[in-house]
Amino acid sequence: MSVINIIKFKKICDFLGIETEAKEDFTKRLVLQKLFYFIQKLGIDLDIKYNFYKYGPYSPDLTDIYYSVMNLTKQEFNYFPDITFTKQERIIIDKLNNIYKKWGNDIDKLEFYASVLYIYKDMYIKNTDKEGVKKVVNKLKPKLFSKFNFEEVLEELKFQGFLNLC
Amino acid sequence: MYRKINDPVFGLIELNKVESHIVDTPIFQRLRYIKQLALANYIYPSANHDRFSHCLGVFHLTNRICKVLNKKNNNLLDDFNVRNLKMAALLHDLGHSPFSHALEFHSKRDDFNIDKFPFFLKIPHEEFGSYLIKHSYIKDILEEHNYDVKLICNLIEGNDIENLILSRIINWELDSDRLDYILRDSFFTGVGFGNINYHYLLNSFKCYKNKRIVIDSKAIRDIEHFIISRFSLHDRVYTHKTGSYFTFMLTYSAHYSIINEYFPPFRSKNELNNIISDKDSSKEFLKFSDFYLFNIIYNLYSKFKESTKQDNIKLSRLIETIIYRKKNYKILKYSIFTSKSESETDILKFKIRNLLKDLMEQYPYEIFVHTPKNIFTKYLSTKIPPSDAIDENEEKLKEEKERTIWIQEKNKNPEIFYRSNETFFRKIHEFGITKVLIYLNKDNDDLIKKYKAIESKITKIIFNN
Repeated sequence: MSVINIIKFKKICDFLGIETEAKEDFTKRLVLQKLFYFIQKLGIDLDIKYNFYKYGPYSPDLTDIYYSVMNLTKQEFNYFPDITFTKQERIIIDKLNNIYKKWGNDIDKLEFYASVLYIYKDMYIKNTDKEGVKKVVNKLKPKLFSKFNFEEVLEELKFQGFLNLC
Repeated sequence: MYRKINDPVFGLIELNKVESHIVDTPIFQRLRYIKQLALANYIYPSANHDRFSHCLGVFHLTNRICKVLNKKNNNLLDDFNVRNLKMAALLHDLGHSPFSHALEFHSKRDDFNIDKFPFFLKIPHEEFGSYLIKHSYIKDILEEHNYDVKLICNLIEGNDIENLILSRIINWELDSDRLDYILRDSFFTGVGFGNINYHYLLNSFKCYKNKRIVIDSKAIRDIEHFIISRFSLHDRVYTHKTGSYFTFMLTYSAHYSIINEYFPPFRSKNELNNIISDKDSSKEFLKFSDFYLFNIIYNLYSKFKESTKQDNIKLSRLIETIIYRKKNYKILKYSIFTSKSESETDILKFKIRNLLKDLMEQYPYEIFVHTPKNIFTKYLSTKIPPSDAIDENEEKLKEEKERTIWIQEKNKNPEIFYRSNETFFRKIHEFGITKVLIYLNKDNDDLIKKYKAIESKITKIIFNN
């Protein structure tokens, strides 16, 4: 990952206020994983590749970057250039912050929202219509599928600008 | 079987009619003119094998793996899936740029401006391969014979597929791609590290609950041998001190050629799409290969050699290293066995570049910093996801410590390979080699003196962090 993207990652974490909490807390790291999945989907490309895991979309690279950044001292961080986000990027980060406030306390919800989005957008499935996606979500996330209302989740994802569904 | 090809690594490789037809297309034939290991032949003279033979090898191994899994798991993969997977294996490197990964590293370097690069040189080769398939006549051939182009492209790009087993066969820590290049690269370089008993290893593959690939625990030493082979090849071949130096100079020369629009001969999407639209016009695509780029670089050298401009003279000296295999630069190597990850290495490199910033500005084209990719990193893999937890009770299983290789003893649940009590990888799975290479113009005494004055700061960053 480029150093520019590493710096952007750190700045976004600082803004959301979740960086230090995630160091000792696995659940917080999962939150971090999902939030950065969302931010890439909203339009800030940090070149982080995700695949589908037990807890939904996950990136080993992201955890790697997280710990690398956490190990830097403040003095060391001053080595790096100051990055300014564009106006569009700032809008996206604000949006992510709102999503975090809305969904961030419920890791199951975050996981399910991210998983539905991933299956819809990033996984190859044969039937890509709503019923096709629903079937795969049920197959891969049966416990969460019975916990949350799939239709409501789709609507919420659409409302947040992640999906354009008929 | 329609055609048999003789291969020094696997013996006979068999293709059906469609696969043979695809291989005969100019777009695929281009892979004959892309060396698998770029300029490794400057160190290992017989390392002249190409992407073409590697693709055939991956195809062959994929076929073998499918047969093993189907035999053990009651036809787990149906004919439709196997056909498409084999085709994905055959085409997986279709989008490789000249000199393989040497050009691909451009987009990862912060000091290279790639704004002027054509789009296909800014994306990973897998993505470009997908693009070629979707926008060329290859798509027509595949669809005519009932292949699923979308599935093939997703497999090539390493995206998750509904049937996770399918994607793991060519996108896994022990996938057909890695197996082939370890065997093939070892053979052609002559280093001997890759002398793996791959027959035994492949025959140990099986499926657990039709969800994921696991390896019989009897093959634990073969897995260790595979990982050590990969590590050794990485250190001795892919990131060889002098080999890396030549590759680096090639990357720099190529970068210059690309941003000044000497290469490639086509740049826009329209131009490319016109070329790959049919079989005849796609012969132009052969120009996107090693020999054509090398020729461009040679012509640049001839031009700069006669120049009186200082920068051009320096550039000609840089290019001369790869034209005549000359070591015009002093190579300083610092390496350490450590638990640094990829990102930590990127940050380390940035710190070193910062330290050398003034020297690099004062002496352009005369001092470079190069940090080849780590191997043996925390996840033993850079692009593939670890398997999901199999024990549903392990709720707190930390995903970031998961590994991709799972083994299974008879009548027991699978376990992560490095957690097994029987492997020494329990102790060393989080370590690897971090290398930093500094290249200095060896004829510039002033530069060398100034570098020596700050060398201790650099070694402190590398060894004390």
